[in-house]
Amino acid sequence: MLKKAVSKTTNEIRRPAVSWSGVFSETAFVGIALVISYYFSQLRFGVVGIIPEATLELLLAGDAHLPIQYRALIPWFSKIVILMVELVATKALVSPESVFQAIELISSVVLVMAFRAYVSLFVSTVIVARLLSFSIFFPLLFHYVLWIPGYPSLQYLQWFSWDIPSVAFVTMGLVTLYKKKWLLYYLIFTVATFNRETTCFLTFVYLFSELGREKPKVIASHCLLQLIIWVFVKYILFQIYLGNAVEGGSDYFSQGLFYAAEFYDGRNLTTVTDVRFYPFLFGVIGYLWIPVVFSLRLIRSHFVKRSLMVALPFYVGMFYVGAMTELRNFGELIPIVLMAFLLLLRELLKLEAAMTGQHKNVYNHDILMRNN
Amino acid sequence: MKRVHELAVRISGKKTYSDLIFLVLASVMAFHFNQLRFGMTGQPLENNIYQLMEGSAHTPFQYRVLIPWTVNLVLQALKLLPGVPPISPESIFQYIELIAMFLLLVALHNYAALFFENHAVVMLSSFIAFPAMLFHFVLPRPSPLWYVHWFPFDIPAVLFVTVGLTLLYRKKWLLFYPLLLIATVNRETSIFLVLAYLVTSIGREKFKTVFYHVFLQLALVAVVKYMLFEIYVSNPVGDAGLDPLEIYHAQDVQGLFDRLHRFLHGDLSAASDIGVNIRAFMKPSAYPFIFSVLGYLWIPVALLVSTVRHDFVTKTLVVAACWWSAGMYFGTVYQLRVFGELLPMVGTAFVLIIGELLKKEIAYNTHTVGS
Repeated sequence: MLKKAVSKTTNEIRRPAVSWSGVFSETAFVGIALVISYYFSQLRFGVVGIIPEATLELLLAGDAHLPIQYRALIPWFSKIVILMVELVATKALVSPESVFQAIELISSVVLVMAFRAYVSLFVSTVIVARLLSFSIFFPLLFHYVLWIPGYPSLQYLQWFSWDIPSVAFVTMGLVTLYKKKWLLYYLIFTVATFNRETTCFLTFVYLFSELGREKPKVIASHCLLQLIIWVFVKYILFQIYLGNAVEGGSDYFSQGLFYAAEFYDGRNLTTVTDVRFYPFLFGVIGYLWIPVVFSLRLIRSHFVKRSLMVALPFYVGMFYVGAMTELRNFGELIPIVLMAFLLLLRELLKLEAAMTGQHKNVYNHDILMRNN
Repeated sequence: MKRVHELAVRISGKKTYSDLIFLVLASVMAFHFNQLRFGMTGQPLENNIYQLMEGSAHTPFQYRVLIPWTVNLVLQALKLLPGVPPISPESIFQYIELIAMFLLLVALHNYAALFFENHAVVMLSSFIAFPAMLFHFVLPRPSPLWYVHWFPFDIPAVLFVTVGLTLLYRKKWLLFYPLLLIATVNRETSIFLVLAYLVTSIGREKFKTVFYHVFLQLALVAVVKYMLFEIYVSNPVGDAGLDPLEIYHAQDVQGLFDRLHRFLHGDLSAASDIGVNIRAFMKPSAYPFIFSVLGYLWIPVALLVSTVRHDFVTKTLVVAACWWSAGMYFGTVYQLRVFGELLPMVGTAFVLIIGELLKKEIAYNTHTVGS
């Protein structure tokens, strides 16, 4: 018998009374999440490489190239952890590598839990929500572990400390946006912007999902507030790391935004005109975007459906500032597309049940014939 | 409900369209997987493709000769065509694996179609193979880092088991027996198809029929294995390339008793792979890797096996359990590729479980809304 956890009318999780079975199943969920996260973290640190311009030491010292150094949240946090350990222990016993790895492990567990919270908004049974939340690891493999094309052979993926936390922040942002928990949302938004500037796409999600449902004035004021926070955080980071070198060694101010365009547009145009890259490009979100695109009409949730629209500005933006073959650039789309896929799966299985029901009589007849 | 029915009928009417999409996607995914396989794995020096083609690799790897023989055949055929530019054996192996992966996705599609009505669900069920197989055939053991060994028989073995299960379900004996023969030349794990037949037929078929089929299948497997044993009798044995005479002696009845005696007295090395496996299970840090079989899909399947409604699928899970247990003896848990053939059994059960859970959820929601 499935445990009922959600009220259909509100879609809010109803807190179950504390019971031993509840504690046990929650412990089992966290335990499995920890085991898979540990494996994922081990894989990440085993088969992924760090570029010389952004070594852990450079990130901790604040000397890494821009824009890598702008994603400062995890290096700052790691620095605090290392300083605290140094205060407690007589000698520093913790290497920066292990601190970064531990943070990534915790981020992965937080991501699974955040995604479960997101799934729970649309799925009304605890066990299904838990089971489906583990599906987040499949697309993560495609974005953050599997090697990328670099003909004639494959290339190592680049490891960056902000990658997994940014997916976790976006997932938390989606949950709070859906629930309209504004205080929590703005807090997450601010912290997440110190981690990576892609938080601006959360504003797009809000805009797309509320257009036509909320008063234009309310939408405009929320968008404006988010824009102000985003610009403010970016300005602080810009001021702190003003003297850092820019990735590729170019002078940031002399070439301005055109630098990124020259650097990445050229690469991306080559990529999209070479058919051999397509299987890798299509592998984004573990190919899950394909059934979503084909069966968009089966997705009933307005929020999930509208949030998919963010993929458009995301791709346009990344075409300009990131390499298309580096799927890790598109990691923030994972919870958005995966949720749509899970809702689609539910609808398809609903159809399956309907079709099986339709043919039930035929089956019964067939079984009777065989028995005879 | 009427709307759902209408939608179901509309979608089922687009079979050709969805089949076309499936084939395109399957080829794209097969290519991607193939590139990852040849980029992220390595060949063991003592059992590389040249030794396998030459017939001088270590056994039991050399026994799995279907693909090396096919490559030799292709190379010979190409020599007969003077205008064709020379092709390296590596690329032929890669092409064969690409085709095998594509056919595997098609075979999984056909297998899933036995249990699901909806084309889209069937399609999605077969595509589970991609992420699940990454864990077995692409992703390295992370700690200590150890790349997956590439062998030409791995992907075809999963293909043959999937097709074998489909044929067993449909009782297409004329196709099943040739398949069993070819699959055994590829890898000896085809014997689990015999077990699958036994487990799924016992109690449903006449005892005599089951007995004849099992006897015939076992005889077929034994003949193939004996032939291969005779051909490669003098090849070095095992990963270490031991002297075949010593090894065969160690595996006779007296030798087995000797090893059992040593094992019971604490000598884990006497049990070869079992020793390695016991040591692996003594290290909890290895658990996340060991348990990543089929991308952890086996965990919900093991916990919720009672929700699987299809008798055939439930029974094949018994075979999967036997397979894993046997793998403890003839393989190490550090090489997940040994358990790749469990995919059709566990993968299909997983989708059925999700379906059942969601069905209950829908029923619960409908009930709540209704009341």
